[in-house]
Amino acid sequence: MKRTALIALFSLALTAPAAAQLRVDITGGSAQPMPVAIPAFPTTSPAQTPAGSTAEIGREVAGIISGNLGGTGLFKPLPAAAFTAPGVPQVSAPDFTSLRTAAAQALVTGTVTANPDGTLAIGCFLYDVFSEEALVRQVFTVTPAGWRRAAHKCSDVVYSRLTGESGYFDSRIVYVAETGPRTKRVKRLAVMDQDGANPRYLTSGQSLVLMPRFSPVSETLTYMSFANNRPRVMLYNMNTGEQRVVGNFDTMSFAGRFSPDGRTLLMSVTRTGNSDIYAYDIASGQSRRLTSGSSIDTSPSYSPDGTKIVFESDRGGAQQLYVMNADGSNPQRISFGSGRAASPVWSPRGDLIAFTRMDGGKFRIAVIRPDGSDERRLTDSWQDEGPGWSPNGRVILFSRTDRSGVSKLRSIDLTGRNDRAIPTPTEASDPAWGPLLK
Amino acid sequence: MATLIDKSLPKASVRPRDTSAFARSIEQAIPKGARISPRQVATLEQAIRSQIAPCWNPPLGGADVTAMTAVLRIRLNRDGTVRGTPELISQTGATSGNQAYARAFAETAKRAVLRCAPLELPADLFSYWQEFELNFDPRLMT
Repeated sequence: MKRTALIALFSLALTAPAAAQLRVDITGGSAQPMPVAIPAFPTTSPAQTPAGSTAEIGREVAGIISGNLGGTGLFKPLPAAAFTAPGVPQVSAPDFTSLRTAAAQALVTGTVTANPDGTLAIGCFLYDVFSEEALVRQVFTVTPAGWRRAAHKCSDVVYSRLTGESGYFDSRIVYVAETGPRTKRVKRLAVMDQDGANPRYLTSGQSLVLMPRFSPVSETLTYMSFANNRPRVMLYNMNTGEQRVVGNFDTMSFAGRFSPDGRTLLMSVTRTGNSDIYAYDIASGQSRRLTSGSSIDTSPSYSPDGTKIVFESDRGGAQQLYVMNADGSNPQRISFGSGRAASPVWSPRGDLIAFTRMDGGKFRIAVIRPDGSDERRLTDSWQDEGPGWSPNGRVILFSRTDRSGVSKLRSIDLTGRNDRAIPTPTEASDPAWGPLLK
Repeated sequence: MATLIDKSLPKASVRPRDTSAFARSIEQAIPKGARISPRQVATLEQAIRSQIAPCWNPPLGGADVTAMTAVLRIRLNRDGTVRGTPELISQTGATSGNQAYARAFAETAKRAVLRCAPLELPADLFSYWQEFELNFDPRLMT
């Protein structure tokens, strides 16, 4: 007893203030989104460009940045009526007093300038309204048609400066676009900007496609095609439109996913009723089998450092998640608890694995640490499946099917907040996020 | 029973410490000629905490958020406004790999103070709150 009291006294001594000063612990805070003013970017000299007037572009740029930041759930763009829109002089010397009155905590502003050489200079400025410091001052020079990307890049630097994490706005999403009746479904590969802009179809829909994934380093996709009624992993070059079959496996191959350096494809190959995981070297065409046995091993995904692979296997009875070394050695089960676990994807940040938890007749998106600890369910709907990470490992894309069978894309923050729809022109499934564009 | 308990105590963790240093630090924490009771200290701390916490938007969801804290030194005028700028005096959990996150974290703390100022605190205790430290620790929120 005496000993316990002494230990308690020592630990108190460790936390006691060194100086003669009051010290207060702030252990709670607000999870409310941060109010940000994002007024239309003024133009230094009004001009017409092939993409519209500089004044119009200034309004649109601010609108895209508002949509991006507001869509994270971490920021609340203030309505334009809440404060006075700045002119060009206020871009470099903002009226902080009026911004504080409007409850803004940060100001995103900038300018649009048509250069004599036909390019556009889009200035991107971020201010802390309370410290009155400029946190970002950057100019993006783009072709007039590229103004939208400048808005995404500005969103990325602002997001990154305020959260300390890298952004994810100048990026694309690939998914399976679904049309036609259930009995004669047409499934096409489709790609769009992460905010739903610029949608386009990459395949004609003649054969069924599933599970598209971006290469993290090149303009290449992998997906699974049912052409000639044989499911096979394919590569698609987005610059040339060229498609080719991966490897010369004489049976089914599926669930392809790139390594973090883009040089290797992991996939499942089925032979005599069992599926094993293979690593396929894209340059040499050589493949290596990483798992064996009579179980179904599938959905492989590398850790961001390339040293480990998470996959799904029914070797213990029902589908569960396993982590093994990249050479296939030392597989360890990491998912337990009730129900089954499928479709694991390792976060690009490395700290979490997202997967589909199937339990009690429901499919939910969940995350777990790579050592199997801290499982958290992020969604609670009827059928949410097929998670994929944003390039910064913060947001998870997935598809949600409602009870009438309609499938749409959604995203959720890894905190479990901000479950939101991703707009697509048609029904959609199997989304995957691409890397930040160069 | 007693022998069992003794066995369960890790012997290595008990090291002799200089308790007189601790006693000195407590005495130093009480200003000269002070007439402030522990209850008043607790009330003052609570008044500060209840005004700062609602203004703090910690960057939750960051990979390193559970390991990070920041201590700011705050100086206030008699009217509760902030004198100068809040000063970051220490931070835990910052590594070479998360500098941008550590900076953003510390800025959310500074912003919380500036946003909530002026603080409303008992005027007769000004000597106790004209300068103090705030330890921002989001562990309980994650």
